[in-house]
Amino acid sequence: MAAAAAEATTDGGGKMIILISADGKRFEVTEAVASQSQLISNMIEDDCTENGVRLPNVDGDILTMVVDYCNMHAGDAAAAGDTMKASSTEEELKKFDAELVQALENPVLFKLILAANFLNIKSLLDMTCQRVADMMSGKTPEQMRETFSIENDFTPEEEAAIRQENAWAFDD
Amino acid sequence: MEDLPVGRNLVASLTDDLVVDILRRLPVRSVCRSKGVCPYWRDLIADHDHRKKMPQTLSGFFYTGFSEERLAAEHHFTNVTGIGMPLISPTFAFLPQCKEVIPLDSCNGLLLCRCLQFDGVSKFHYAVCNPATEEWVMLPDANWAIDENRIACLCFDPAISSHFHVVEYVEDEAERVTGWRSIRLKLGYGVSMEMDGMV
Repeated sequence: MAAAAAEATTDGGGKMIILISADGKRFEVTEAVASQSQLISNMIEDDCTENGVRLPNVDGDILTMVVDYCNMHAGDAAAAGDTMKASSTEEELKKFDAELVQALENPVLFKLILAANFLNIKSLLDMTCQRVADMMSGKTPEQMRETFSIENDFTPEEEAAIRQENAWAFDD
Repeated sequence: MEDLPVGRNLVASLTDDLVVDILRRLPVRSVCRSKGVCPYWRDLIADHDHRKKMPQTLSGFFYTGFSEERLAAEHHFTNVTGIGMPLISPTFAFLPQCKEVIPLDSCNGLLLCRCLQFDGVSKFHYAVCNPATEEWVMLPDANWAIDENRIACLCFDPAISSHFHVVEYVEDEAERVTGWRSIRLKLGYGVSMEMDGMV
């Protein structure tokens, strides 16, 4: 895998960073885009991104979404913005975010949470965790188990005790 | 995503911190319901460090002011948000036989109160109540003299047991502990005295 492109620069002069997913897919992004990830931002500071950044626990298709998200949000992260194209408007961003999380199937949503956590991208982590919370809100324990494929490993006695202790919350 | 077969516990791939990060975004009713999903969630929610991050029901402050008009102490409650009608009426009108109720301690939604009576001599007894449901129970061995130096605190974790514990110390004038007792009780149920002793 040649790493020669890792030092490439954009026409605007911003340094480019190569991100490499678990399955070997390569993504070329500007420093401004990549540094929305606190993990990568720290690596840039420590000067260890020269040969590309390997992300052994993020799959290519998840990383595609993360890179899309970061590209979209680079405008508001890079406040100075001089190397960026016209940044997206707030409304566009909201629409993009809403569509992104709404469209996700459960396993992808959970993988995105793990990626956002690993890469330490707070806004993406907030958004994806909030999506899961929204999916849980108003549901009964049975519905929550069904939504997230959780096995019920309570004994009948334990389950009855929980219901009794939290009876008010179980009433409709 | 084909490596996550249907039926696998999706949440199991998340760390404790991530599950807590999700649960803390839920309204309090959904947090309580989540305890009934699986033992892992129940224990996560009960964990002392996590509990502080979860929304709490009826959070607020009791405070006492002095009414110049009535020349008497007045008890108040204010919601932790500082807005809206107080969630709890600090008069505790649902508690019987009380002239004045002074909250002493609270734990996970229950309150330990000192109930004062003035029938000739000043006496008090303890009550534990849930101000949300207005359930209450009086502690046995009531009618302590009001000048006795008794210190009581309440321990309750509904995720572990519906019983609560009240631990009480008695101090003499020199602030030495001369006796203590621990009582285990349930709202609306019978009493079992667990321990008591002198030191």
